[in-house]
Amino acid sequence: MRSNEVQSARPLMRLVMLPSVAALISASMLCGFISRKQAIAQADRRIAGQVVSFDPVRSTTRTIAGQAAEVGSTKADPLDAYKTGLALLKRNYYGVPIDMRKSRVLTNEAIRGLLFSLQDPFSSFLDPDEWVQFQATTTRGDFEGIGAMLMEDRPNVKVEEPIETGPAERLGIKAGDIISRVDDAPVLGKSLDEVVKMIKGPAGSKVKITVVRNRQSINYTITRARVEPPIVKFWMEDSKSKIGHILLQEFNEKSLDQLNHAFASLQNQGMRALVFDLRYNPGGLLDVAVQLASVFISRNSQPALKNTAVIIHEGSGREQGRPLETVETSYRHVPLVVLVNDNSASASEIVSGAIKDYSAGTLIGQRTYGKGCVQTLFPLDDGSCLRLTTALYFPPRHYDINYKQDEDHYRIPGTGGLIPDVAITQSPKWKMEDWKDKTNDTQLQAALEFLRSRLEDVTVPNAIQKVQGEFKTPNERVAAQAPRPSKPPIP
Amino acid sequence: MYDNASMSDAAQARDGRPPSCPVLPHSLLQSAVERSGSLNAALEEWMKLSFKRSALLLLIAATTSGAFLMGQKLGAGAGETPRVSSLLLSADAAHGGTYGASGLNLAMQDANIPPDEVFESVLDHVHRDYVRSYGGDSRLAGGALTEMYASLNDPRTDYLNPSMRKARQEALMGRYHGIGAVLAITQAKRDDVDYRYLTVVDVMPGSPAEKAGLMSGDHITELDGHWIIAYSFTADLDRIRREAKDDASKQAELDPITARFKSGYPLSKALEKLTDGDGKSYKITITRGDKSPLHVALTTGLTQVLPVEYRELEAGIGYLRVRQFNAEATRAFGVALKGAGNLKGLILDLRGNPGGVTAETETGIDGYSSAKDLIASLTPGGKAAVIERRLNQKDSLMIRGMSRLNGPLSVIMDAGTANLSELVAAALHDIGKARLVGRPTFGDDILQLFAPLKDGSAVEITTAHLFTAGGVDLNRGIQPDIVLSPAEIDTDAALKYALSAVRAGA
Repeated sequence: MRSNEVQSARPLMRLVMLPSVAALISASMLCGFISRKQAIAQADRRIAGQVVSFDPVRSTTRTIAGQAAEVGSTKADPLDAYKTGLALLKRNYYGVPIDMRKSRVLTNEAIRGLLFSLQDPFSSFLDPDEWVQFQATTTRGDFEGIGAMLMEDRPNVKVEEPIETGPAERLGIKAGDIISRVDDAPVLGKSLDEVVKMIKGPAGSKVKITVVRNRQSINYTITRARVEPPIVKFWMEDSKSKIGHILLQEFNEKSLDQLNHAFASLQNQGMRALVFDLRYNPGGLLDVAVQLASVFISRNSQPALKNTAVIIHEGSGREQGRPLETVETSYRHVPLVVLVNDNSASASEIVSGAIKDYSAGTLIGQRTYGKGCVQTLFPLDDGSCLRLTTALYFPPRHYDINYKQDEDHYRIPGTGGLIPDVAITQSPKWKMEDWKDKTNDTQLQAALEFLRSRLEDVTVPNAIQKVQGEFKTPNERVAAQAPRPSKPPIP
Repeated sequence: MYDNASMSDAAQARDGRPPSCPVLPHSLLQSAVERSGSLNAALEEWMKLSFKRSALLLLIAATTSGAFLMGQKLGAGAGETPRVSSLLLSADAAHGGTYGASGLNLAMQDANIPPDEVFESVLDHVHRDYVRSYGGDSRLAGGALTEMYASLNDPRTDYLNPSMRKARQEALMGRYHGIGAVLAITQAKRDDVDYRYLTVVDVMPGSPAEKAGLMSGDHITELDGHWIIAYSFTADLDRIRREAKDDASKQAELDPITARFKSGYPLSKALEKLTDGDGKSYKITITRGDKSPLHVALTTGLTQVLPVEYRELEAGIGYLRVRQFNAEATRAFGVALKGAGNLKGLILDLRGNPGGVTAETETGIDGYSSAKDLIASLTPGGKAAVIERRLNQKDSLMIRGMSRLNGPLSVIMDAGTANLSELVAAALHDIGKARLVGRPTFGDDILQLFAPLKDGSAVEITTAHLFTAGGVDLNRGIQPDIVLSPAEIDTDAALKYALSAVRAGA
């Protein structure tokens, strides 16, 4: 009886079982699909925005007139506080009711306030419009227009540097010129981005630029052109002693190639020592910095440092050393000086710090900027984007080079950065443009003196002492002690 | 002491069926045993069956895992991993042009994402990914609220950190820290420019401010040499752009102005310094009307003021001074007015009363209720005022009168009679037939809501604009029926006039 029942149940079971198994298989496939997609989305969000070592002089922090709260007595929940605060406004605020659009605006302000309380000038929030603009424009100013790098010095927009052989430089526009009108329209109070937009235009078209220099207005009519700034400049600085001079403007994908070209060229001319100039280099890509450090540093030259190029420290407390890499380069080791100043930042500090710690070269110049941190971009679901400082980095000997801030969040000069082996203040008479003013370039002169001694087999410590003695004139000693003006970071 | 197996054994034995194996009380095995008739054969069959079943289960498991993995593979997609690594190479914030090229175009706007989810994402990232220490969540909460409220650009709507909240609450209860004056940020327009001033509303008796000679209406323009920023920088920029002859002269004018703004104090910072803390010394600059600026030095301290004073002046005429509106004041004037039915008249003195706030949860400092109670105590009731909570949406404030007062009423007021005090004066005039004696009042029409937050901070929100019952905006001030000069208002003359007004009204 039972077996009959069992037997008659079989076809029914088969009927039920087949589709259920099929369903089970499809379901598992779907689960696999979804779980993988999720994992990727997560990884994407983390990695996708790894902004490595970006330009501190042009960070897009706004100046907000807010005050950070004092520590409350009970445990604070920022999400709850924000929700309550917004709800109270919605319910009670006089005037026009707060709709969804206004809620978003208020929320974005709350986010900015939250980030401001971190007291980190490099962390910020970009609303959807700002994020789109950020991706679309370069902040380095305008290479496709008149060939000048612009910078913001509130409330002015100034020429930071005219690009060599560009239209602006040929007509005589100088570093420090304040842009006052573009095509006769006054630009006072406009942001850097707005002014850049006004100046940019198709090659061949004309634009009238009015600048103020030494309290005088000067007009220029410029024909726009396509200008590409050279990242690397090089020449044989001292043809008698065969000391080469290589200037690196920033760390990008083109830097290593251009440097290799410079090395090869100078070596062909018999270069015996090198001045590697990182003054005014604001940084760039972390990877390129590590590669460059690897060019200048011989592996295993300092066993204690374990071939670490830079140490990356994350929020979790996890620290990892990025190792020196094997890099294809034409460089052959010679006595090396790295020139640095207050505007050598970020990636420049990674390279200089590694070279200093491995004693692969000698740092001469001024204490560097003091940006030892890395930001990550996190695009958010509503089209906005969060930029957050997610890692610190330390030179191989593990010390903190980040600058300190005063109570108004302004950088305190001289509190961060790498201390050069030979501290030389630049002569106030030096004109930076074109790097052609050699006489007043005290830092370069010190570097050359140092290398000449080294080429005569003077040891590094003795050469340092010699140069320090020669270049500390009474005036320089006074200049070195004068308090430097505390300027806010250029936004 | 029977376990299941032996029970079934026993049961089966009773049924006459062969005993089943106690080690494997398996129903299928049992049926196998029944079919095959012997245990061995049954076991063999059972094992074959189990084997078949396990094989089947194994097959299903294998297929589903295979399917799962295949799903994963499909989900991975071919192009995604290379895209991620290329981003690492070309990601560079200073040169945003590279972003577009490498595909970091994640600017897909989803306008339907609720704003609080965006806030939460940011908060999560800060908690999870931010590398530095930042002093804890209370700093984040404070920062978020400070900026959110400041962005409304309304000087009477702001966030109070725990220390400021405490100072404010104490002041509303009559304990004044700082210079012992009630200060407010007032707005005015001049030549198309919006000005904001740190203004003295009232100077408390016995306070450092009183000793330094401050008066209601004074603007505090400088603190320790720092300009208290009175208007937006763009106003100067616009003016210079319009007026300067050429670009070079524009630049020359701009530099000192920029320096002044950079070293200036925001209004909120100056307000906080002067209304909190004891024992600190400050030098401030005051402007008073058209007169030349005054420079005074003060040292902060605690000034305590009782909310209510009451006495009988002469037979049957009461004198009630109300200096604050809060729960304590209500209690005190309630006691004082118990015998109001026996009075022939009453003088209500509202000089130097800065008004108060409405507070739903902090009932101790709820001034709005207190003011309404006072109106109820002194009038037969009616339309006391007009409250505008939304633009162009005016509501009447109806008060149920509970007055036992049988005689006439006069109110003494001055330039320091502000906010809820002005409301009360106007209401007593409109529905209580009170005669107003003294100086025109301050002119503050804002009803502020005070709302505490869980973490010890609080917010103040502009919640309504106040009008008299007749619809006159309180920011014009209330005009007295009997006008006294500035010289008379602080003297006995004020009381004399008020007294005669009461007698005349009899």
